[in-house]
Amino acid sequence: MRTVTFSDAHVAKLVSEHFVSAWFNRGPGFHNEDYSAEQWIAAKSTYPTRNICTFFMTPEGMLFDYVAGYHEPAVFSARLESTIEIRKALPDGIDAVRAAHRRAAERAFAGGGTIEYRGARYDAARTSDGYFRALHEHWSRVETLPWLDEVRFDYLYGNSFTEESRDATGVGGRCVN
Amino acid sequence: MKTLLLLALIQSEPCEPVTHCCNDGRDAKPWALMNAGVRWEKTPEAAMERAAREKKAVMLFQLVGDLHREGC
Repeated sequence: MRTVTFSDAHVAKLVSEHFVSAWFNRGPGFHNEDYSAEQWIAAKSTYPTRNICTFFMTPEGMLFDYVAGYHEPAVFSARLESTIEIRKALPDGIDAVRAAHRRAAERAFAGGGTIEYRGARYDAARTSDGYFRALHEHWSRVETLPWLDEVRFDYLYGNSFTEESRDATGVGGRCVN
Repeated sequence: MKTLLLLALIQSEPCEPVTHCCNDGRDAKPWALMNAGVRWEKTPEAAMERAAREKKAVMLFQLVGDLHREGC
């Protein structure tokens, strides 16, 4: 995500227009010197690993969306557009946010499970169609929007693959030495 | 109140600056292409403060492990 998706000019433009960005190292893990796993993941267009998660929240810390894992620029860009629509629903209350997530679930690659990005078409097999739909459907049923800390260490619908060590506590802005 | 608690949790321990990830003092980025596209605030609370001023939302990218030390 860091080197591919967040370096993409179109993604960066979308992000800068609607969000202020920060990153956070959640907790201790091994220093990975074997990048074969990441290379395999990056060879796919999207992979909902629990190792990384991108949260979207209000300036006060109230969460209204998240997406776990690696998603290449085309997929993340389409996903961002849904997130932007969901954010626009915030002033209208929880019902409007739920409805926006429902629309996102229905729209999730509704074009036969394809998205278009810069003239290229990506099919459902590469876009984690099922994952995004399940995630939006989950959000469409929440009773209240959670605060970041309520879900950040237990976010749902992520692949069980993670590099997190058993000792990780993940509290605060901890950096790893 | 919840905002204060959240900020306290996010910054509960001292954290080395994000642009200095190497113990030998080299001015390295946490990862090689940091800020090549998306521009990152130094801390989550700085992002929250700026988002409030600019009436934007916050995107917080969270990772596990030493993935932030690739630039060292």
